[in-house]
Amino acid sequence: MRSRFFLLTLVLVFALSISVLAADEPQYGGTLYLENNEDWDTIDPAYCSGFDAGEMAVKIFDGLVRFDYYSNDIVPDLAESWEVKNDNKTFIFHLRKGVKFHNGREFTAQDVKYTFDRLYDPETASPGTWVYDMIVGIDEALAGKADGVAGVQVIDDYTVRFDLKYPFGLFLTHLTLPYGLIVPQEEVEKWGEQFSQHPVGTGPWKFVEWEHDNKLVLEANEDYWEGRPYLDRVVYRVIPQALTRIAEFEAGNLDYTSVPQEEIQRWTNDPKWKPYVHKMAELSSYYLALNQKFKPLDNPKVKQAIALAIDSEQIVKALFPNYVPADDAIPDGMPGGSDKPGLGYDPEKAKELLAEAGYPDGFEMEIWTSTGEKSVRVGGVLQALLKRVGIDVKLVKNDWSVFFATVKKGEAPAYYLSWWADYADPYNFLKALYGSEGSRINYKNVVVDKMLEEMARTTSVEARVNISKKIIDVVRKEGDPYVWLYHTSSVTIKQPWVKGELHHQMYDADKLVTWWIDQNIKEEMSK
Amino acid sequence: MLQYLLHRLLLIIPVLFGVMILTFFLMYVVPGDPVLTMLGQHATDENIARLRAQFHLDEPWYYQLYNYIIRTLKGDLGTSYLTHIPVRDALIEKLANTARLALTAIIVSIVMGVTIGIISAVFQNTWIDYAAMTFALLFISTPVFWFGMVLVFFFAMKLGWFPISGMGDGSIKYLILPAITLGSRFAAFLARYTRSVMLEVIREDYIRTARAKGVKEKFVILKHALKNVLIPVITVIGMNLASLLNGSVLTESIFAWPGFGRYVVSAIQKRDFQVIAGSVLVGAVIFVFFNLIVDLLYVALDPRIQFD
Repeated sequence: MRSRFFLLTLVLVFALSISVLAADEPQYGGTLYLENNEDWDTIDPAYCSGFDAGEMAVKIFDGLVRFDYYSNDIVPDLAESWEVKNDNKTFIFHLRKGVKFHNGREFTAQDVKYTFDRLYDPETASPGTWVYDMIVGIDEALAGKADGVAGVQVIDDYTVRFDLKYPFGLFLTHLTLPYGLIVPQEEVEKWGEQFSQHPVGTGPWKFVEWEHDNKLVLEANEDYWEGRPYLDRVVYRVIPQALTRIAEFEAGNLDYTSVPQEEIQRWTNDPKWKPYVHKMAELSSYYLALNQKFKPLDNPKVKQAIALAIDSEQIVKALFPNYVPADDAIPDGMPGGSDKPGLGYDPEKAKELLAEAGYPDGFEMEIWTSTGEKSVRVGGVLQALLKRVGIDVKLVKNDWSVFFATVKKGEAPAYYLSWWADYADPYNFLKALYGSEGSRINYKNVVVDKMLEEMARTTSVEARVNISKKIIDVVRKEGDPYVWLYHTSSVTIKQPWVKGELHHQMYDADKLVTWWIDQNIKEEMSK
Repeated sequence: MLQYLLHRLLLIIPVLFGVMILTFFLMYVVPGDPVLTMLGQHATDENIARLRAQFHLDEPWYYQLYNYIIRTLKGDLGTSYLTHIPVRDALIEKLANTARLALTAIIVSIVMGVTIGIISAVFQNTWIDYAAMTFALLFISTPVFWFGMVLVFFFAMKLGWFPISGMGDGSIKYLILPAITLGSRFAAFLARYTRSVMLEVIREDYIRTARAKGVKEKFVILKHALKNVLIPVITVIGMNLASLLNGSVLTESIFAWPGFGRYVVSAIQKRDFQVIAGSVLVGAVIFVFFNLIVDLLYVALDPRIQFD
């Protein structure tokens, strides 16, 4: 009798553990409802300049490589493996066999060649030509003097070779960008300019329909080379207003949404919802730029005085409690930032420095901002803080296009703007902000330029991180032309039945293949 | 009549030409262009110059204007620089969506506004009148955005009678809340306007005569007075129908309605010139067309007005 009881207990325990395990086992099926705050301009990889477009394109198309789902490492995608030769000047990719486009045709090296030829065809007019400008022959192709890009060569059906003009250690990283997603020639030629309305790739999701400004529907690619996604369908709705999105989420019509700042407390204070709210640091850096062409903003003491007069912690506390105060260009969660603290906030010292620089009574300056609500608010705070040390700020507020056109021309004396990562590497920030080529603040430092060049050459992440720290030190020593304000973060919320969701810092990393819906919880909750 | 119609139709030509030229120059003098939107933070002089050349944005203004006019005369409104979708196709889709919304809104506001206005006038200086006019004042002064969110909160989220946003399967239940939001201010305005016109009309001699003849009050109001009230009211409706079609951007935004307003505002923000030019032109055509209809309606309602 006792042994029978023991056996029964054992069976029960076994059955229970199986069911517990099964509860966390991903389930297939179901439709995921997501949102976007505006319509996608395009899903054609050749035109994916915006984050939204790129984020959508990676669901339908694959590149040669991609970001790992759980880290910033680069992992194989359509390329199974690769060889790097000739001092980082030659990359040979061995392609995956048996991969099919959504139209049933097999993917080969010819598609890779076509994708890059198309990107650099002057007729395509792609905004993404800057991404692969290190490939041999792109200038000739862009000028219409060559038939295709000479530096991309098909070796055989499953091998393709890229020759670069100079050693470029970040080439693989650049290949993760949406412009490098592989498109099938016959479909592009069939649809022409309308390819974006009928996208066909090799990705985990097939395009179903797109009602502009309303919704976009994807369905699982049963033949995806890595196995079909767990979900059957994904329906994206275009909802411009944050409050409407939250209302739809509350009603259970959206499975996942961003939480507007004014709503964060309501959801995090609710114990029922708190576990489903997720905050993530974004790869962005917001700053006040000081144009070196304008006096006295080129004076190292004046630059330091302005930085000392601005209390970034206070700005964050007062305006954006969820953001992180910044003291250099490199955002949180990314290596390469300085180990030493920034100048901090010290208005008294700022006044002293101004006096030493020959401006004991301060001076007048213009700060340019766009008319966006956030920009105007930050502009106002900067104006008030600088007033305390005697600097009279005139805020010049303009519509985004006017503002950006002026900034780009290097004509704005000081301006409030940001840099968002194209990929998670300090080089992407430092090259754009401190490189002398096309500098919007007319900044030129030969030492920094040399270090940036070194940074671009090496494939070693460690070496790049070290150089990044050095660059920040050099720039700080002679007065940083940027006053670092903050790094943003995003807050999202999901329904309890959504499992396996990714929170990757890169917008183009998530292919929605890890997400699944726990039907049991969903049914339970909808009762 | 035919001559008048022809005259009016001919007048449309210089008006539309004026609109085209004005829009072109406005876009030309306002800084920023679609190339900057496309390139975003990667805009370099070289990239900008290359794309501007590819879109023919670097050509002299007179050449661009000439091309634009010739193309438009051929019925081609161009293609969006950013989406590559022909402007004509997009406009047809967006205008159809907005027309559904605006027409429903106008019906709601006419039914509510005119009825309340007449009742208020008939019961002038009673509590009914005061209550109706207080509500009207309230609706006129309520911001559209706030009013829309309140409707969503009560009728969609709390009571669950209507969906929160979107067009869904296209059924009428998706239209109700946005239509009320869009039409509420106009309904309130119409109520006040109808009331004041009605008050004037019921003091006219012919109404007194009708009453003296012993015509029942119901007939006096509905037959004799209403017809005369309608003439000024229809003018106001006609003028506002066009602006409802053109100006529903806030409502479309709250209710995620894929309409004309959102389309145009987004194009302006992104400096998508072809879309802006096409939309403004079509918007102007709608305006001119509705004005013409209103003028024609006068005659139908008031035989004293002649076409001269």
